[in-house]
Amino acid sequence: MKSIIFGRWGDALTDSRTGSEVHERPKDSLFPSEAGFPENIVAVMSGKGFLQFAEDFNFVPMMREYVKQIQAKYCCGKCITGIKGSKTILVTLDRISRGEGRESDLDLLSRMADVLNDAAKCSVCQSAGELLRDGLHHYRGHFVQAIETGVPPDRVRYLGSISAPCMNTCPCHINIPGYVEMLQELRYAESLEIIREEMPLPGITGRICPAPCEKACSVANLGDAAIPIKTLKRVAADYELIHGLPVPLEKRKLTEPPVAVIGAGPAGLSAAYYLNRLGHEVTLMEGLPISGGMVSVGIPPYRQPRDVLDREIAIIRDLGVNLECGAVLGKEFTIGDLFKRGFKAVFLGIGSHRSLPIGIEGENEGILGVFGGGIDFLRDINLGKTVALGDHVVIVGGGNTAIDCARTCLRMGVSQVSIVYRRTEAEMPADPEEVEDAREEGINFHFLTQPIAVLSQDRKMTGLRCLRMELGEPDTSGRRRPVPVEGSEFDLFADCLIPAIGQKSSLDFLSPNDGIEVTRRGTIRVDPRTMMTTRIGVFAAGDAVSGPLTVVHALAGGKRAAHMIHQFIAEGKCVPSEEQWMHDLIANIEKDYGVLVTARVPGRSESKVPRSKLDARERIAHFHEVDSGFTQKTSFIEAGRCLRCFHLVLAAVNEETP
Amino acid sequence: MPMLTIDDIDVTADEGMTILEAAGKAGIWIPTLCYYPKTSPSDSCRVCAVEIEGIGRPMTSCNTIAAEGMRVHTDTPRVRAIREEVMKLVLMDHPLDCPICPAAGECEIQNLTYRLGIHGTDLPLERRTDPIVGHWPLIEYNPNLCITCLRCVKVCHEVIGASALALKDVGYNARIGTREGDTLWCDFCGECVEACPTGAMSNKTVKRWARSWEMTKTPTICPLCSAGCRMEINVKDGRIFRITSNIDTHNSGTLCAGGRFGYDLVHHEERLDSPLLRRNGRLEPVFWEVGFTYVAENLKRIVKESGPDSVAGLASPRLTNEDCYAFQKFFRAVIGTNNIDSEARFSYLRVQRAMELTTGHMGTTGSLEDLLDTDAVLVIGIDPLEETPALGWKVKLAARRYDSNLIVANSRETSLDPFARMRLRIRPYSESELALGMMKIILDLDLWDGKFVRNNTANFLPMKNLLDKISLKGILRRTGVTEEGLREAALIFAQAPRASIIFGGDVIQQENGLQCVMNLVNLALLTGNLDRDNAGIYPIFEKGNILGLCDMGVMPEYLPGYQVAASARGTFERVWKTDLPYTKGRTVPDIVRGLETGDVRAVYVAGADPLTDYPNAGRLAAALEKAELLVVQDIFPSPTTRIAHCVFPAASFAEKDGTMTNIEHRIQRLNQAIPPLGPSMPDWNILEQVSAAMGSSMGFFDVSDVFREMTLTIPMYKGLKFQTLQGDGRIVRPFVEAGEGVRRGRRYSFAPVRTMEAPEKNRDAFPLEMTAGRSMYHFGSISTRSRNLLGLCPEGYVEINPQDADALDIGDGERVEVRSPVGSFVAPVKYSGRVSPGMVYVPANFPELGVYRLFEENTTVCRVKLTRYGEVDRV
Repeated sequence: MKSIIFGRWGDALTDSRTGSEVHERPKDSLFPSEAGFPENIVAVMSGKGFLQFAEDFNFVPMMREYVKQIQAKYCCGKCITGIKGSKTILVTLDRISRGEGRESDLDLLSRMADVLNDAAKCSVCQSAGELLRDGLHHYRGHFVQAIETGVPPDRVRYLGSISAPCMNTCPCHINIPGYVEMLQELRYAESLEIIREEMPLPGITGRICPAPCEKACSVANLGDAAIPIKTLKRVAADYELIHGLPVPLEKRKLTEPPVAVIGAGPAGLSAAYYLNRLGHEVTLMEGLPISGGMVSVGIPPYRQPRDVLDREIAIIRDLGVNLECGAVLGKEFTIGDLFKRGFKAVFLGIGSHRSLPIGIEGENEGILGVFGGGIDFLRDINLGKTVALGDHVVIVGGGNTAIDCARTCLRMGVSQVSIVYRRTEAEMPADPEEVEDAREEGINFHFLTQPIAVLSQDRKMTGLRCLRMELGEPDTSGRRRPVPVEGSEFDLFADCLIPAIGQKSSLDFLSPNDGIEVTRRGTIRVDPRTMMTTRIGVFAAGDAVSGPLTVVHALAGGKRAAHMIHQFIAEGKCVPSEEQWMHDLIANIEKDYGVLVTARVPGRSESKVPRSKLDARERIAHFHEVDSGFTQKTSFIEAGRCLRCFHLVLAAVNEETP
Repeated sequence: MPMLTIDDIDVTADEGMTILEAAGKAGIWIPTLCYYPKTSPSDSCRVCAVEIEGIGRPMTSCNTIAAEGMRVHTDTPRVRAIREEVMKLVLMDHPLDCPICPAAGECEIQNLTYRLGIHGTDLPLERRTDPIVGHWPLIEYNPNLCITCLRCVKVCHEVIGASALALKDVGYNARIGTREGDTLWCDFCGECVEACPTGAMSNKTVKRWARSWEMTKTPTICPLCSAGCRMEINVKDGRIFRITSNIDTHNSGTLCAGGRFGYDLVHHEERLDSPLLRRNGRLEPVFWEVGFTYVAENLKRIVKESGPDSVAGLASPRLTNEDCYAFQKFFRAVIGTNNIDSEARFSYLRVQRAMELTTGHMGTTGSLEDLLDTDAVLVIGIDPLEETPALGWKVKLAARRYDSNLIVANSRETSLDPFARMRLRIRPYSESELALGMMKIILDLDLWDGKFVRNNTANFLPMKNLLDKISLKGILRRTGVTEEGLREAALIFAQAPRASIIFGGDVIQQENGLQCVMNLVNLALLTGNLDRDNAGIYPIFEKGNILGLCDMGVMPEYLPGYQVAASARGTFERVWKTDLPYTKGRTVPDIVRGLETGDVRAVYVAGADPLTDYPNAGRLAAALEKAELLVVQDIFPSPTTRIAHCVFPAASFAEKDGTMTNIEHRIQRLNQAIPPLGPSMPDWNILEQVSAAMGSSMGFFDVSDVFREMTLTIPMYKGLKFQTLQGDGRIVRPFVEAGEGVRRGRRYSFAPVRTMEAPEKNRDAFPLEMTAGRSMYHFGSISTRSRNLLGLCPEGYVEINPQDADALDIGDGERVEVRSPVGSFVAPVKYSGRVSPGMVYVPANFPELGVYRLFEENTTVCRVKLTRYGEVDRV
């Protein structure tokens, strides 16, 4: 394992170059884990600090590379100090490296470090100032040496990538500060263009993404309400939609070999989109009569309006992706058939559409009123099947599916809808906003309640027997485990039960001949770096690989798989790109969101960003969208709060390729 | 309202105010360089950094909102160090070519360096030597002087919405470039030049001719369109060299190409430089007195022989209020007739007639600023960027920044289309039908404002009956829009809490103009969009003082201030010390008929060119040639001056004082920047001299005399003072009680009317439908005397859809003859996707084309055929 020889991370410092270790502030709490770094790493520079791993290291050329990359790619050109400060540093370090340094250069560099630190507009150039100040202080010898003799040619390779806490947390690595800034500049089309580079379904993720980015947002971690990144994305997407603007995506000639994509959910759509962008002829096959996967059959239209989804799928189809609905893998055709049809690779994005049973008495006995599962219920509704509901429906579970079932029941005219969950509200995996909306609509919550049996009379459900629970010790997930309270049995009156405690993939279609291994969790086994399954040429991503997760994870998986498929077809191998290598490295060093920015505009008075949504009494009468997103006025203000805490992460590595 | 301290001074800031603004309020100076109040802050220069207690890093005051309890310090050593260092960074590679820099004397780098006492820079960097971008028209970009403050990019994008400029490349290479490739999609408003703190963006027209300190600035208003933007005329040695503007004005100093660059028309060599008298069939220069005597004697003779009603007058919306007032007084008090009219007959008077019958408001019901915060806007029959750019900018910004839902209904693509939620491509002539269709749907869906209608309007039932009878299918066929489109537009409009309707030339100038305006007003009434803030009706007409012209009573129907003789006779007879005429007076069509029958023998034209600007100019020309006396006072020769018996050279807007009234009904001062060129005189003065020569002076010795009299006779002018009416002027809202009792005691009334369908005759012989409008770079015909603007749009043209051009085998730029049943002209063809197949569009600005000769009465739509003309002539 690599160990840190010198490190400054935030304001923690460790230095063991002189033998005895010097610490300022305990390093364990802040520093990234050394275990996460590859063997060939020499040093890392980022907006958060600097780490030296190898003995043989020169600060000066790495600093030069850092400002060189900033000047070439990342300095936005929108502040005088950034532009000219980093340019001056680069010119000076270039000169020093050629052996034309002067002693006064140290002062000049120090001045530039100060001005970038104090007055650069964003953290891209500010980071350079901070790193240079580190260098002038802790590696003064390198600079003095360089001024005397110049810098010998470098033996290390540098890999750079822009990062920000939000970008890094987003599985799709969307340039979030970039698109937020465009919104603040009233450049809606440009904003959307930035989003579409990394993610093809902005209207959908702008509505239903769980937005891990917002948890990482520096503004939030400085104690203010996070930038509403998700909803801002929707503003950009909706602007194009409601203004009927043409989609600025060029249709390209499809000259690359054909690829089959199974499943038109987020993972499949994303894979199809990026394969199309890479020039592949793509056939997208969907087993259900409608496309969209879980987004279309698992999420009710009041959260995810069908027209938005249809339009985003239509955009992908208009680019030349063929969609075939209704053909089911394993029934009508096999994976082998696909290769026989001439596809050079197959992508599986089949999702996770089978409900898990609660495992209680009476659940599977064909009692009238007991449903198979939440996801099946939602699918039936979304496919337009008739579903008979009673007057008192109980839903078991604490995730978004449970809430979706409950709110759907309400919209279908059920008078009493309750949710039974065995832990407390704080442990619920559902989005807090969903819970809040459900409560506003009049849904009852029974927390710390565990169902144990379905009560029935004449094979008709009459109630649900439950136990009271209390929270005990934390389990492996870190949540406190609910334990039954002795003798607390009670009965809930209900004539319908919808279990919604989770779902898994239905992998029955696989036969041993397919050569695709399944994990013990019931998911498809893939190499996480390449997304290839155990069968050569077959790739997979999305819920079928990760287990039930989010749309944005599926989109990211599909995107990564598309790049790998492209490489596989062209070169017969799959090696993660430098970009992916950097993403993985950054994911390691930014595990804690840290606080990159040292100062910000004082916080707003309310802790939440206002949402505009329909009144609860009105909205339960129909399936129209509840949330109307932001007005442009709000979007302008919210986007303006972004601190643009971009920074360049530069890794020095020892060998030819990482 | 947050309270904070800045440099230990207690300051109460407004909600949402930045620290910089709060400091300004407290009189504390914070240096700025990139700050530009018209745009969102770019916070790129960093010199406005301040320290806030408790926050580790200095913050830029331009974009940091002042918060309760903040303790701000603007002059600490750390802040001073940042300022000094930033200025040294600015100067390190900035060419110190100040003597030849276009910004010399008004350069903000220069001024700030001086103010901060920076003695040069010790930072080493070579000077930039990038090539100057000199091939754009009118504007030049010198990247070496640019500090990427982004003012130009922001003003172009945020204020104008042209988004022609963009920051290109990154790091030290970041420079201003064009949005797409090398093409400059520019409106040539010159806002980038005005915004630039250095000489990077400069005005090519002033280059090497005048330095900033050599020019004196006269604040005045731009007369070209009816927005009435305030501007400053910069004069050196009696010559105008450029136009600048001041940010503290109602238009925030924003000007369009016309305002910024059209000034050179004043010095055009064709300016009339002498009174001319027709002798032996030729117009010959004469002394003023000779001209005055000739006109006075002939007028007196004709009046004596045939009575005052044998004399008629035509005035122009180019004249000032004082000119107009003097004009009507000349006719009513000196000649003794109500035979006065203008091109408003074919445009704004229709609006006023419709408004008079329905609402009583004699113009727009709100201000341009109000449009920023209106929830829905229906822009119909107008491309505001061509008629009143200032209004177009507001609508664009509202749609992008303030959630305004924009519905554009037009027979061709407009510059607002990209910002619209609904784009309805309607057939020409069907604006009224569209309004009826929207109303029908609104009524059917029960989205109308019942309370407003019940409390404030009359004639709702007839309106409802009419709507019930109309078939929606017929409307769809006549307008050419889809049912979904119409429904969506109706929903957006009706559901908006505050909605406004903007309409212009296409609506007003068509034969159905009156009915069309009525139906648009009906739509506003049905949805309750009157008497509400940020909602209302905006009838727009391009020419500068169209409202002033109407206000001054240059028409037979009304005396100045929309007063009728029945009630105001006493006032006027007392002030004028003479009797008012009792006859009704002739409108333009009556004057033409009078000329044809010989009943009208003399015509006096002030500032107008009827042969270019009036419909059916062919008949008009023949009629005017029959006049025994045709007197024209104007600044340029025109088709009308060419057939005149006497021509008087008038002074241009830059050469006279006066007032004008913009489309918001804002009365503003026009200030003289240069003395009248040559022997020219302000129009009011020429009229006074003729009066005097006729032996009955109007008593106007100075323009303020005219204004003073206006304050006596016109109630809405009461209390105004010519000398103190500076700055943003005064908005008045004339309201007339309806004549003929049509409003039946209610404040407003519906006017249920249907309109005729577009003329379909001659369909086979004349297969294309032509509409006339205006070029974005021209205003009336006057701006075709500006070389600067001619550089942007040198001649008239015919826009045609490439599909039709293909079918007719006409190449882009080829000259064609455009022929209607009554006239023809020749112009080059311009391919354009903006017009639908089956249609052609021509700007009517160019007198040599005489576009209006192709129309029969009262309209700007006709059927035409195109044939190739002579040899191929690529433009």
